[in-house]
Amino acid sequence: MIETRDLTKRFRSRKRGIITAVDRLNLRCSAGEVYALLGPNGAGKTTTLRMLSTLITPTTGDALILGHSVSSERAAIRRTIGVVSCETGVYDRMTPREIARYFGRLNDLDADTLERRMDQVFALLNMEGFVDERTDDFSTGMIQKTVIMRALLTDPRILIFDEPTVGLDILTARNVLEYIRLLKGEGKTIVFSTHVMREAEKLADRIGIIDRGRLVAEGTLAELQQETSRTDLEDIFFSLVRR
Amino acid sequence: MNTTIRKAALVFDKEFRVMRRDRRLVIGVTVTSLVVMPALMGLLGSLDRLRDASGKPVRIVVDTADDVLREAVGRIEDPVTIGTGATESDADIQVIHQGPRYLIVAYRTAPRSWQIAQRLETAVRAVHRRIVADTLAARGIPADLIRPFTVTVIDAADPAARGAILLATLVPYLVIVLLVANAIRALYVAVGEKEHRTLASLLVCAVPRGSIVLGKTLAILTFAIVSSALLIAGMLLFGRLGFFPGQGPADISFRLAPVQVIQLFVTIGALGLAVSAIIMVLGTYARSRREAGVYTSPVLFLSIFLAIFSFSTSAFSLPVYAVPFLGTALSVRDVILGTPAWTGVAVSAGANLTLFVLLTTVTVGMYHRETVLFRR
Repeated sequence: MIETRDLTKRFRSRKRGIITAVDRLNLRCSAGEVYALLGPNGAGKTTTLRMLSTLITPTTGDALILGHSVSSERAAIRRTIGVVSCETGVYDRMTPREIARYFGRLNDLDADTLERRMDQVFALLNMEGFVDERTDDFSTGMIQKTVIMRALLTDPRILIFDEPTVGLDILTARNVLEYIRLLKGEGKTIVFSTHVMREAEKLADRIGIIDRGRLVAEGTLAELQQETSRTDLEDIFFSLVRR
Repeated sequence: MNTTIRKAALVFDKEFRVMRRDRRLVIGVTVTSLVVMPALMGLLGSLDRLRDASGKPVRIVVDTADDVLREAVGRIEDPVTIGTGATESDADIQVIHQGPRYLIVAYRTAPRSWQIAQRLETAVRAVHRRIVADTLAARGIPADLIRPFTVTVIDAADPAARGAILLATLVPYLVIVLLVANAIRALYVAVGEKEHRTLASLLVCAVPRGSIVLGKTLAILTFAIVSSALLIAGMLLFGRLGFFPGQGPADISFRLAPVQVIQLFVTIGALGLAVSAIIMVLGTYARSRREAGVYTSPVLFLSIFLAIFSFSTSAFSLPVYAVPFLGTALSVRDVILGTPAWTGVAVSAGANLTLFVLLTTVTVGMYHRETVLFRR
């Protein structure tokens, strides 16, 4: 369902010259799977997910999502994915319902489907109490729900979460993880990045550990344990990541 | 194409709705249009009236108060006082009588004194003519011997044409500066996605980048035109209510022919599109409103500088009409004056539309460049 082939991204920096953020990355994520991309800050997680989201273009290599190339078939990919990022905000002076309508129409949902999906997603995320309030005074949790709602609106087969719990309080973070679990139950394919071991341990079917742009290990928790002869994910992580 | 326009309409609708809900923006536009600008205009007029009413009489000091000077001063309608004798320190104008010569000494740096000095000169010449005529008459010689004919220039313009001249200098300047200033106020439309971190979610939608750019540009254009029109309407309304002193819009009997209205619509509309595209390209490049403000300030100054040319009554060659802002100022001036304007209108509108297309293409290109979209 998701496959990267020597996916590489280089940036040009005035101060640091050419930076290789992602270096010949090869990962695979099957349908209905939850895949955790685990890595320290600056490892290349966000860059990888941005390439998968079609926000940025690979320098070399490619990634296929449902058989479509992120380099050449962006429009097709955008119809199948939903993206949530810790860095994403919401429009102020609009209500979640208005935001939903705006994004639904931009994504070509017809009026009936849109209203039905809105009802479903609002119910799923327990948003009924504030769907008609403007986002100006929303708490972090309410904003995060609105962001997730926006990603789920088109009923995408693939969801990409970039560090979805960063900056959230413990309760909101827990809720977000519950939603990911819920979506997994609905058969969605989910790729999420995190540097929190416990999140990967609890949610992921398979884990990819990324460091300095390269995938240093990939597999189920059991496979990683076997490979490194360690039981705890944190120990596994530190044994693989060079510091 | 239909999808692009339909989605551009969605983006436009959302942006314009958010702008309408921005209380500070709406209050700012309303208060500026209906209170601040009319009040400023009124204040300017009042100051002018106040200066006329309470202005200190100009003091003329003459070394010898002869009949010629007395008569000449009597011919000046402005309030003046006259003193005689030695030089006075508070004299605005000194008149020195040297034999057959009258020297009127005044300071050009004091405009009112200078104006009175010039009137005094005219009055002295008139007295001179009267004395010559009287002397000739006393000797039985007809006065018209030394003045066989007179020349008088008569203003044949009707009030509408006079109004047109006033409007032709003021309106292009106001329109251009207001359009640019109000488009800058709508900067949020261009830079807001980055500031509120909503850009990524918009970019992963099934929406062409051209639709995003077009929708936002039209939202800026609509806001700029609506708020500028509101401001002009506010000024006209207060003028009709008699808040403007002197020759305000209420005194101007001025009508535009339908063809002139079309010409103005084409010229101003094209400029509006170009200005919106400028704001859009700068706002897209900027990371924040503050940064965008740094880029847009020179645009405002440039527009003010170029719009000033509307005050000129000179004729300009056609290529000058292709200069953005300047060409529009001249075209609007020509249209209001009723001079043949279609060529100028076509050149200025064409140049602005070309600029709009060019900048919109650049902005769409920027929406594809991650180094611009995710610039840190």
